[in-house]
Amino acid sequence: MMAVRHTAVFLSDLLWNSANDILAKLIFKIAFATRFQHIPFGATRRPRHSEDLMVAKTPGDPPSRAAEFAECIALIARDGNEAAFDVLFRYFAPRIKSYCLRLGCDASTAEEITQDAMVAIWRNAAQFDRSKASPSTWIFAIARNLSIDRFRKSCRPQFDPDDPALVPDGEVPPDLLIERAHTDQGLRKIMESLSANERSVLLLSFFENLSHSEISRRLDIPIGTVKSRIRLAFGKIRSALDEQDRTSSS
Amino acid sequence: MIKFHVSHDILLGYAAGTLDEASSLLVATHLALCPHCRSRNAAADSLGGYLLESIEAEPVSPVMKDAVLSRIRSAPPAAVAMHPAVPVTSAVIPDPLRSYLGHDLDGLQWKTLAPRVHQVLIPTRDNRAKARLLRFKSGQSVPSHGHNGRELTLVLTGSLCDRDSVMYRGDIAETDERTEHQPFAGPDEDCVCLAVTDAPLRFKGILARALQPFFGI
Repeated sequence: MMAVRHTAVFLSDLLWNSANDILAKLIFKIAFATRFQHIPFGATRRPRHSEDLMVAKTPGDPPSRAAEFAECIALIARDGNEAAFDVLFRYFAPRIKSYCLRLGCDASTAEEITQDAMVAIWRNAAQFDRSKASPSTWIFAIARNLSIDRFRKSCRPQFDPDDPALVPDGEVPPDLLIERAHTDQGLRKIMESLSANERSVLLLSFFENLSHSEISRRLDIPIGTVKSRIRLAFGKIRSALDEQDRTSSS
Repeated sequence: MIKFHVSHDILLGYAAGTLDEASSLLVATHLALCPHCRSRNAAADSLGGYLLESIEAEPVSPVMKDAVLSRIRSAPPAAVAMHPAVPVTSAVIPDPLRSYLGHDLDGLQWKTLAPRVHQVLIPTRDNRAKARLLRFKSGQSVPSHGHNGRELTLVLTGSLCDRDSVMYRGDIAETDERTEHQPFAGPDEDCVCLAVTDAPLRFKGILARALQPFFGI
């Protein structure tokens, strides 16, 4: 699988990553040891301005609660633990609702989709595989798929990992599987390294459901610029993940 | 090995859920054939997860928690998903495309589109773009044409020669308004491909233009 990987890596990202790698690992270890006794999320938010299209996150935010959330999902799958579900509800329900509103749902549809997403998290907890995705990525996929069905009145076909015609990944070393659980950590670093312009096109594309031409009108920049910013931002994200895979397989 | 992958723009649209159903079908079928793009797709999904964490929280109604609790108490967490009763052991066309068609390659009802060119229309719930399976006899070319919108083509069997490239199983060709081309099937075997268009094609020849309304392409 490594053989087919795209190998182009932005040099600046490489330097930036290696400088931050040790620090990020240390933060993760401390956070894990203290079971994420973090500051409440709202306390670090900046006020939202209509023209401020950046993520609300600032570099001083607490580390990801991925390990804690993954544990909660495991507890739900194992014995239907409602206290664990409560942790997920308090964190994710308001964010799923916010996501739906940004897509353009009215308030009651946003509430409905959020409710269904939370029920789906409960019911499908056994399918969550922390070696394949972080909790927030898994939950995002649930919310996205529900919103496509309900709000966008469309379908999103997906591949079947057990299909006989699927071309397999090849041998994936076990330590790589463990590293992939921390994919969101590498991504976090990269998102913080993106320029404001790159981040704004990514957010508009993802959360406001705007096409390239709509983004181009909204930001008053040529469509070619929109495309190239998305390409650049996405290239950086992918390079970071490729780099992570190479590091863990070497 | 696959040489022509799904573009960043389209993969990002697929991850965000903004891509139309027909194009998503093509992307998902490509993902079944391309481990490299599955890894890119996982990265795009992680981006969605990250953005969900970063987004500003919006208070939910105070009664939602109770509504959810009463629903989950009446339904325990499901076991891991069940597999179909009769597992498919081999197939030429990967899922999800095979499910959309209802058959693998040998069970399809082909309709003649032009001499030596056949098609199967693939119904989709949203009609922002059209999906069709096309089969070209080896060596057969499509009349030269341009596009009013975007065309995505995924090769499933044989090979397709387009401009200066030869594409094989799993490869994707992406064209837009600026492209005029005359793709043709390679010499060895019939070429079957999935084609997705978000606007009718613009044929150059008078005959092809005259026949276009009858074939709906």
